Amino acid sequence: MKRNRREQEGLCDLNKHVHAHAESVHEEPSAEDQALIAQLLHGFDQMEQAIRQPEPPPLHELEQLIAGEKRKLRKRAGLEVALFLVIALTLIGGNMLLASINIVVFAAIQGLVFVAMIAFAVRFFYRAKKKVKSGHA
Amino acid sequence: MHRTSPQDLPVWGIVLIACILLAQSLFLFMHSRRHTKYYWIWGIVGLIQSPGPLIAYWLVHIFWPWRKERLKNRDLRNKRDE
Repeated sequence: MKRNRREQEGLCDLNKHVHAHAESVHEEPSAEDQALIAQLLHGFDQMEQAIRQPEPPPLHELEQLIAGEKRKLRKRAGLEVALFLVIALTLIGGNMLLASINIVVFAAIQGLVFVAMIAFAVRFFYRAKKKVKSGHA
Repeated sequence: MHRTSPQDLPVWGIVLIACILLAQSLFLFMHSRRHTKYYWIWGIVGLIQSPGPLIAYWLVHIFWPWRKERLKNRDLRNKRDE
């Protein structure tokens, strides 16, 4: 019985101690803590001032940029087509000349290109089917 | 044996062949410009011979993607139906 009473008294003391510690935790922050918090807040304010809000570029500027890029691309495409036409006329002229000089060589080139093209297509199909079968398509 | 030579070919025939080659290569050049990065090769090959490059291009860059898309759509439809 005495032992039980002693244990109960010990538990009460422990409870009181825990309550006292909890109260001390919920107490007002000390001056040191307050100074630290103030310093932190000041730091945050300075950071906000240093990082300026990014302004979105005006819409008309973006539109002008896009229009300029489009114009550039169109110009480049026109130049490429013109260059291609020059090359095309030269090549066709050369082809016709070759046909008039030596019809056998001309026919051989024609046949060779035809066979090469068909071989390319067949090879492409074969590879593509292989890819599909292996699941890498 | 009768041997054909370019001299036998009338002028309008030569012009017709040139037009066909030019039209084919222009089509290949313009179309492949939007779909592949080898548009110069397609255009130049299209100038040499007809209709081999056109057939090859149609098979590789028009027919095959269309077939692939169709198969993909069919698979999706089958999965949805299941």
